[in-house]
Amino acid sequence: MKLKSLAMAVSAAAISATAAVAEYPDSPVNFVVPFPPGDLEDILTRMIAEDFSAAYGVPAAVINKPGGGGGPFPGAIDVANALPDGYTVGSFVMDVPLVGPQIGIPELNPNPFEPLGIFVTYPFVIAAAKDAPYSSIDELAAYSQDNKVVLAHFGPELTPTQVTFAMAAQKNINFSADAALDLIDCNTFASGDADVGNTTLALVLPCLDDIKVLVSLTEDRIPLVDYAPAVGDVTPDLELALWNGLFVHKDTPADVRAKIVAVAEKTMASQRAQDVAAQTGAFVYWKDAEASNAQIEADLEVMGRIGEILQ
Amino acid sequence: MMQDFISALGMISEWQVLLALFVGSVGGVIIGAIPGIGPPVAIAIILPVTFSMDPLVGLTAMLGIYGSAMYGGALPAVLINTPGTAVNALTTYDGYPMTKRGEARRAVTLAYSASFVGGCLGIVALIFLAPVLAAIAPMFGAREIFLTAFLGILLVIVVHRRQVLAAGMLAGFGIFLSTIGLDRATYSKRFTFDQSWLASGVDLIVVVLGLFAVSQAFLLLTQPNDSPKVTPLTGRMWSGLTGIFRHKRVAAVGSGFGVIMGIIPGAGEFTAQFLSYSYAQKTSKTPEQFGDGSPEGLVASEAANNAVPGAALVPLLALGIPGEALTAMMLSVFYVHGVVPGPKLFENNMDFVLALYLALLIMNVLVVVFLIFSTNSLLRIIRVPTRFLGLAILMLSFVGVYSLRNSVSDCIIAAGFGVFGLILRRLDLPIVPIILGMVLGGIMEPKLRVAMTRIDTPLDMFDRPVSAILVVLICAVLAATVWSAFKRTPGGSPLNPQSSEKPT
Repeated sequence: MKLKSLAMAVSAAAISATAAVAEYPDSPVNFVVPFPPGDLEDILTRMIAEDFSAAYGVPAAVINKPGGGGGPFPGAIDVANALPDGYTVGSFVMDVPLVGPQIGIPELNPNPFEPLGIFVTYPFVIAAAKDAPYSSIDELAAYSQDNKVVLAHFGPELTPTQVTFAMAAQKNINFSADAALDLIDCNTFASGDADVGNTTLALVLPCLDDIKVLVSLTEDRIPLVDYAPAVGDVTPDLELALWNGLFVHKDTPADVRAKIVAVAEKTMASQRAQDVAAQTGAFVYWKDAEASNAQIEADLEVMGRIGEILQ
Repeated sequence: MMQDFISALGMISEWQVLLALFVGSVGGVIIGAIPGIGPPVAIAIILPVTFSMDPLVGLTAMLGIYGSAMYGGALPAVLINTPGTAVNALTTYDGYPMTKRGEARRAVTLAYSASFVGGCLGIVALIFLAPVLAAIAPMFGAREIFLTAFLGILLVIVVHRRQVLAAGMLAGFGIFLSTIGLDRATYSKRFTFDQSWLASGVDLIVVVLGLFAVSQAFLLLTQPNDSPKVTPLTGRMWSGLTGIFRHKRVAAVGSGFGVIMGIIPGAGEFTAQFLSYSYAQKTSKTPEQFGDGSPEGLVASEAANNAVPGAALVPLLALGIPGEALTAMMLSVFYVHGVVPGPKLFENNMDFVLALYLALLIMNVLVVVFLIFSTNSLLRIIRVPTRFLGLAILMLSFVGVYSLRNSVSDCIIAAGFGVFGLILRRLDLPIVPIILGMVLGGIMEPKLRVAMTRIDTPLDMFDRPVSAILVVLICAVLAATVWSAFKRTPGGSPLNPQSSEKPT
């Protein structure tokens, strides 16, 4: 009797499990953003979540899991530990698939994620205060030979920081110290915490007149600060732009992925997403899984080069 | 100017703005009063909704929640010894003992009026001094914020007279808690023992809810099963509201500390409260009542924390510096609507700025009116039989903890801290130092790291004007504490806390 009811319970569970997959989504879906709310990935992921909710009639929430100076990795670990059922979607910066597997976090090695698509390139820049006695990377290099220059960044292992370090090595910039900050904004330069900062344009928009951009770490020049060269103009073999994309666990079923992609692609083409791009200097688009994988491959190659330079 | 003002009045009298103001402020009070569901959660939820609204409507709703949550958070702090938001923790010290004495009505109304004074002074500072005060923000670099936070920790410890050693150890424990998880600079795992549930660290809200709410629930559930011994309520509502005039000085100075700490990006309301509280204690005629139902302590705490939201908008509006997560979320609302804060906002959109100020002022009035009318029904909560109240608190706190990051291990951690909090309460040891240690420890470590990049010799730590002042202040606090400890216990050691003196 006991055995029979147990068997029934098991088969019932099996049926409901299949049903759950067939009807995705039938319960709330979480989009995990491993940063505090407010930045581009958060704003755009919230738009995706909202459209997702409207399209499928289930609640979809953005969960912010900032890791402090630990960057996106604590948040990524949470997504890696979740069930591969499409109910936990990661909105990850490129460092998660590119750097995550290499820094000794067992949950992220081998890379447990596959991309659904890449949707934003950050307007990352290397900036300095307006009154700094240098206006280009070459002048900074010359100045740094005899003067102390402190670099602020969002974490030593993160991609823009690595690009900056590699550029420093190639161009012979001599940073006297570097520090990881949670927020690099107008006050970082005004208070003298750092001389040169690796930040996104969005965080320094209010004081664009009080700072100068030495180089933008994007494929093309950023329209808002078009006086500054793009990284490819300065150091062609270090062309690496910081992007953010949607990721799921690699065991996630294909039909589930398709449903998420269908919404996200539409969201990025929408007027409100493109308005954000125009306002902040970011590049907003949708790159499908195949193109995203190719991007990751290409980026890995540049990162390998950067690794060699920094050795 | 006059034209801007009239245009601002026009903007604010739109029905959408008024509705957002009402919903934001009343919603903020309710959200603040529910332990665990604080303004960050609420604002994150309404953030995407505000993207599709007019900028003023969206911002008013968010500012309403931001500014009124601490009003609401004081209620459970006073009535059931459980702070509604983390910054109301200090309010439990003097608010709850007053409730136990049967002065609940006086305590809550005093809290409202102190909050109102703080809130309004914060806005007045914002209106008249924004461009001037904004100049202060750049004077606070990493080392100044580190020293401010350090001063905060020091004050937390010294305000616990007779329990200095215990408070110091508990603050240290709080700092330790803030270090758990992935290290901020090198990604090494600290104190995680290879447990994945520890990798993302221990969340502040989880600890606050565990130590205060869950432990209070345990305490209530272990008491004999009957209605709490309710001393008949004394004191008329009006006497509490006007009572603030007897504490003008404390309220004004407390608000002043709130304004200053609000302007410094990232320093926050916690340090403001302890500056204010220790000032009130040091200058009080009855310092021995602090922590035991002193109206002055209650006023000091509530005036200081409510002055912060208005003041925190100074660097946000004038310089575009968010300072912490909540104001960073508001910054994104500005951006989405193409409004970039900074000096240009004041030049080109002064009417918009004025409308925001007006909305803030109206919000404070709305909240107080709402609270006055609901006080009598709110006070019934202390007549609820202990077992129901205990269960309700327990349920609400676990809902709050779970909703934070949908994590069951957070609930288990909160339960663990609940037991720990119960032990501390039974031993009559203070809980607030742990919270402050966590908050300020989390600020101090990264700021010290950044500051150290500029420091070659220890003297460099205070070679800037503000940091020099802070170091002098820190030394003065230390000296005054040691001095008064010797004076109080002639022949005794100041390090020997005589906690038995404290009435239980």
